[in-house]
Amino acid sequence: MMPLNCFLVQVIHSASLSLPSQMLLRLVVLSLFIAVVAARYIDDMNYGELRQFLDDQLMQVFIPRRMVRQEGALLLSIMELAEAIEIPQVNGVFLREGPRAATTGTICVAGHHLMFAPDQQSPTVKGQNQDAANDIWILHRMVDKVVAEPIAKDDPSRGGLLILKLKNFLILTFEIRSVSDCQALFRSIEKLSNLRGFHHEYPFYYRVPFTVLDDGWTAFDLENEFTKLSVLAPDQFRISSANVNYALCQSYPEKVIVPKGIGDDYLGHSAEFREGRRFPVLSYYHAPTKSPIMRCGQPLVGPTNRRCKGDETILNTLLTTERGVIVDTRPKNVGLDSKRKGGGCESQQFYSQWRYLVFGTPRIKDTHDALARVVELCNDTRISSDKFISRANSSMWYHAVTDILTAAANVATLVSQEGTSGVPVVVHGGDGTDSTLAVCSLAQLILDSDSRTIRGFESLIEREFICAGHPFQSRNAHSAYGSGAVTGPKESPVFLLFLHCVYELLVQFPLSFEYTEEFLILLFEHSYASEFGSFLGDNEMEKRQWRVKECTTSLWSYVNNPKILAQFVNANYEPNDKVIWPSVTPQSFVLWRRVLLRWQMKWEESDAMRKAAADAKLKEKAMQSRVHSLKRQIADLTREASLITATAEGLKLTD
Amino acid sequence: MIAGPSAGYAKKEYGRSRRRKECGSRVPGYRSGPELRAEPVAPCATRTSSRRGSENGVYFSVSGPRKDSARSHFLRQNRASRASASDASRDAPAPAGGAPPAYTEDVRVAGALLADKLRTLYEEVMGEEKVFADPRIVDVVDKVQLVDGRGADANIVGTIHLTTSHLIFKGESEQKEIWVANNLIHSVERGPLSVAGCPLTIKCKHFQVLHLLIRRDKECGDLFESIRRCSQPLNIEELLAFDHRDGGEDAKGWSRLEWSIEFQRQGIDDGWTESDVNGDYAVCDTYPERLWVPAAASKQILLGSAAFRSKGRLPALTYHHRLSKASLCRCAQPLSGFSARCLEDERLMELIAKTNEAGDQLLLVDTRPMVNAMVNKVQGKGFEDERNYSGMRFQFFDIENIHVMRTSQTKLVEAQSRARSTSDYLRGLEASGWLKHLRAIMECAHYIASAIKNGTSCVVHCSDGWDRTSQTVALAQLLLDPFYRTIHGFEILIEKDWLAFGHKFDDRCAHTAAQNEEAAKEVSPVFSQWLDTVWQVHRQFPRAFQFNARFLVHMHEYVYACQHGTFLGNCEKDRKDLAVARRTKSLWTHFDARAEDYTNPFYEPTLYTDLLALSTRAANIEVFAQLYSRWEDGILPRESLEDTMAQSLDHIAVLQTTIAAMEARVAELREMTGRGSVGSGSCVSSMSTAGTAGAPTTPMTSSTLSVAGRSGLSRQETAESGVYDASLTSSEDSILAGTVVRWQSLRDVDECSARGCTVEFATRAEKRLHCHRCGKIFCRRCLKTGEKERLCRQCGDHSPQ
Repeated sequence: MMPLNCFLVQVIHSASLSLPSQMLLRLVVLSLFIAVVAARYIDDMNYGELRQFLDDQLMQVFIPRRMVRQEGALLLSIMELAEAIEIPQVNGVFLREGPRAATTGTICVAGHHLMFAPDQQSPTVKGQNQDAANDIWILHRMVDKVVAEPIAKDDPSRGGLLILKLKNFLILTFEIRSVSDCQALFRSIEKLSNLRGFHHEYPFYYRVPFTVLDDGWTAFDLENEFTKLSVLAPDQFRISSANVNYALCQSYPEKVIVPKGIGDDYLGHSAEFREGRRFPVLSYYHAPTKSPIMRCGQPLVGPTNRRCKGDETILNTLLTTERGVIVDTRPKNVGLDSKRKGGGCESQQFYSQWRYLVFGTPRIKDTHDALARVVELCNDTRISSDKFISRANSSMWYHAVTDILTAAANVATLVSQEGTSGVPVVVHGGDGTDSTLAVCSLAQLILDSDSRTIRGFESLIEREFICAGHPFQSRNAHSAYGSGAVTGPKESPVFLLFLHCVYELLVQFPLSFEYTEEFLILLFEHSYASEFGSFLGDNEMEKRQWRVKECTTSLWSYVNNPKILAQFVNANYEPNDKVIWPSVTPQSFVLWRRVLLRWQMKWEESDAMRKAAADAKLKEKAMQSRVHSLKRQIADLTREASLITATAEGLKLTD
Repeated sequence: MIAGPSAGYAKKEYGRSRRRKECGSRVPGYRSGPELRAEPVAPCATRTSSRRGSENGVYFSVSGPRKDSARSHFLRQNRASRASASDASRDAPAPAGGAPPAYTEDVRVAGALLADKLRTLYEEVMGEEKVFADPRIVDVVDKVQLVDGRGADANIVGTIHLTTSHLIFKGESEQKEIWVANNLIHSVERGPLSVAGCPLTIKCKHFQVLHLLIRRDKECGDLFESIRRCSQPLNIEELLAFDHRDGGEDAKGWSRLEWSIEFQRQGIDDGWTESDVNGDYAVCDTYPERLWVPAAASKQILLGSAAFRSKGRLPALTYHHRLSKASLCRCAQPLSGFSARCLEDERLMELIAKTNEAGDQLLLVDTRPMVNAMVNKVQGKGFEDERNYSGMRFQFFDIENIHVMRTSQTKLVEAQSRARSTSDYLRGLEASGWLKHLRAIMECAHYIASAIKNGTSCVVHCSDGWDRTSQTVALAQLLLDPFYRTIHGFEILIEKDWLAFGHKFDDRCAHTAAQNEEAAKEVSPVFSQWLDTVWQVHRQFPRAFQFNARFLVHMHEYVYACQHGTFLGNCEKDRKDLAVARRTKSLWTHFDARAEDYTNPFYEPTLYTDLLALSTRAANIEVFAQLYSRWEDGILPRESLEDTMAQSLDHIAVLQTTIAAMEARVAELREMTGRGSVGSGSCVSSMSTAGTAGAPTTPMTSSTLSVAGRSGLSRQETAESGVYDASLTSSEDSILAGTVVRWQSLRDVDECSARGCTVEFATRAEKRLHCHRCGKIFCRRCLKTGEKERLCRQCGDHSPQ
């Protein structure tokens, strides 16, 4: 048996003997890439089989089906990736700090992955499986920041430190003997992790090791949603195809739900008037009070106080007897400020039947800084208690979470207010692609028990974030550690902030959610780097351009696989169809330790507790059904027994 | 009388049972008068004006159904559902609430009413106060509005009864009842008069805050004065604990700690011996009479050392580590001043070090910051000089004194209750420094525990050796010894290191009113703080503890409530003088009776031996919200995994008996039908055959069953029809008959399901208990716990036993 990493080394070595350098490098990358693919399949194949298997794969992968479709863009990409790799492998690296105990091993750089394989300590005892489990695989896309520095500044001979800071806040520190190797690795990884362009994305290369039972790309079709909606609210909404080919708005999906009785021409007028051409569309309809939540971009009122009658008509169609509410998610001064720049807010004059409320939530830049600060704080192990609290205060992350939750709870309150019905709520911020979406989705989680199931939550993410045009590609290009020239102004952990808010709900209502904290963490990690295409692109239009849906697999296809799904199910889930009113006071804020302190603590305690609770619940359920079946059995036997007695009595009587 | 939130129950029990007998319902607000009067007379008789029930029970809700403001949604959920539930219970044909007053059946009540009316008239005419006939009731004020502190809920109108033992708020809606033991009241404040009424704020030591609005200024003033008087008894013998003593001697609770047994358990060897040097508290009146000291130490040495130590608190053994043979001793600071030394004391330290064969090193921990110790030097106290003691290492820790801790907790509570914005809250939390202090204690305890684990004996002291020393020593033992993490062991730990070694509970908790400023300065939440640190450890190792957080929270309340004698007095001698063991009940007995409330379902007894993996980094120390926000329903999580799991385990145990009984029944029936030989045939097959066989005879069954000779059949029948034949029933059958497979969900259960009770649970964190038969949730007073099962009244009445 030979471990995979040894095999890779062999491949590289044999290749280097026979081929000219440029070609060699490409081939090495290719074969590594294949090995990466293959690694998904092999668990207990022996070496010979592995060899055979790889040979087969090699033939196929050279011209795979997907690449033909992508017009060779991917082949080009492979070459580009290959050029980025300055050094494919470094031996004798010491892992000083990371998710495992400190050990020496080998770093390999492949097209999309970075791999660290610990040296085998006792090859006779440990089998290949054991060894493969010890390998660390990191998608380049997951790397947030790379740092290379000499161990001792005045003594380069002691080697260099390679520090990888990942987007899930893990920090790996490697000691590398040669400083030049270290530098080469640094340049390669930094280049690979910041490559722009779709054709570099790993999901296009990833082959699913499982059979897709339930295709995630089609699972959450708008038509289905609409069917449900039309039962709840007949004749109030319709599906509009005004945005076919993304003609009206590039960040919206092709089909959107709009109020009935509004022609597509009105939508066009409104699009002109709204930031990012995001005209008002339906986000959620709360059936018990017949109140819809709509969302859109800010109105382009501008310093000249423009108005748009089409837009006003759209909103006014929603009104019944009560006044509607327009919720602005920007802090007041930001709203006023943007008026100078052509944006602004609906004027009371033209929207006289609407109340205008402001629930300030942090802007994307603030959110980004807040995360950077809170992560830095959490990584500081020696900080004093007082300092911890004061820096937590100045990080503003706590504030961001409570602000968003407060806004969402307020929206939910407006929508579900007792005694009133038909209060439409329109939510917008600046672009309507960030805090607006987070607030709308959280309001739904509070109001709608469906979204607290796994399926419902997936649907919510798909509808309210992915299709609604939350620019994942730009927002999640970097996370807390990113800095310098490689980062951009559009980066912001809005989605993580949203998940943190969901976590707050989860803590307050641990039995009302079908999914667990792990599910949220999965979403968090995949939104930054993934083998699945769900979070690729900024919107549906970009997904279309790059044929994401044809060429990649959806995250939901993976998650909904029963085997995978099982690990995210909360065994203690008790469906709760009521509205769950969260507490938004600062006293009830709970830091999401499992994410922010994930790599610094052990989680056996909480895992074991959850498992114990789940076991108890399952046992209880099993025993309950046992009692039921016994009850039936007893009833039947009793009847039978009475029959026998009756016949016996009858016999006695006749005697 | 028993303690705490449940204390009310026993009392009301009386009124309730009476009420049932009278088979009519009286005016809700009026009920408490005669009930309370029925209790023994208390020594404290306070005269006040009585306005009790002057409206003759016209207690119809003024505000109507509670109207919610938009904000209210945040903190509280589905009032609507709760309201509908209560409606339903009212509609039920129970003889409870709502009916017009009918008190003719109780002449005394009618008389009281009349007397009241006359008295009011008389008062109005004469403008003079009269002594109220019943000394138990101090004051009654009706039409009081209970204001929600956060402005989320609407006000609740009700009546305040102030008795010599409790302050009781009774809502008109029947469900809201708040009972606060007088001793739990920390302070009363009057606000400025407004249109709505006179605001009165009552702050409690267990962090409950009651905001009241009283109609008239005079009523408010009277109540204010009465509460002040009642909540601050001048004499310790006025405390509730001495008042309520039902049943016989509480020997089991009072003998929780047996020194010799405890030290045997710890595995002490010949190096240590019991000394009678403190017999009759001759040497130190704040120590126990029996002390364990090194066997080699002569009486001379002990007396010499005691003379050298502050308050005579010489070094004495408190813990001995079985494996490492290291010991943990505690004492007070030496009276060393700048140069004084004491050879006996030095010798004693040496002997302590020598009891540990493994190493004769001794670690001396002074829990004070070095500056404080230096200041003490000036006063002729201070700390040991390392040079005078052989083989000793000396270590300071930065745990602040009681005054700092008192201020810190005040600030914390303020931040916890007042802060509205995140910045506000975090700023308040930082300013309080509470978490910093907790961390200091935990670090010190961790240091001591690791030293002992590694075989170095420790002697710990602070100034007097009863505050910080108790905290750190007890916490260190908790980290080291799994025994102390059980409920029983935890109680022994408190008995040993807090009670026996003389933590001044009287002074620190202000059981009696502080007589002067000096006494007021003695008040400090040292014990609460220790409970807080225990919780911090508990949070990190939830599986290592047999008890849950609720245990700690209730412990905190009972320490202050003074309904048990356990925490009275400043030391063992005080308690002996007061004869608490004879005159009061022990808290431990109370806890024993409620074990199911305090059991941690996640407990795994053998998983951990020591908890030295404890992390004391800042991110791991949090506010003990269950304690400080206990009464703010909205802030704490609305659902609890722990309670669900406890419920599952409880249910599993019940189901096990049910299944066993059913299986026996199936076997019995099989035999009857002549299919016993089939044995354990699958359920499905027996069902199908039974189904076909039984179908044609169904019309006959009812007539034939009455004559069926076999007991099994008639049992089944009687059980189903609800008629119980005493000769035929067994407990198993009753289990089969009535057991409900599905239990009521814990979600949103705020009140007892018993008809006519429907009392609200005090807080959301209160344990909800199911009836083992009908699976509904009841309050404790509607449940009876038998040996095998716990039944509600209804199921209990139907039960054959």
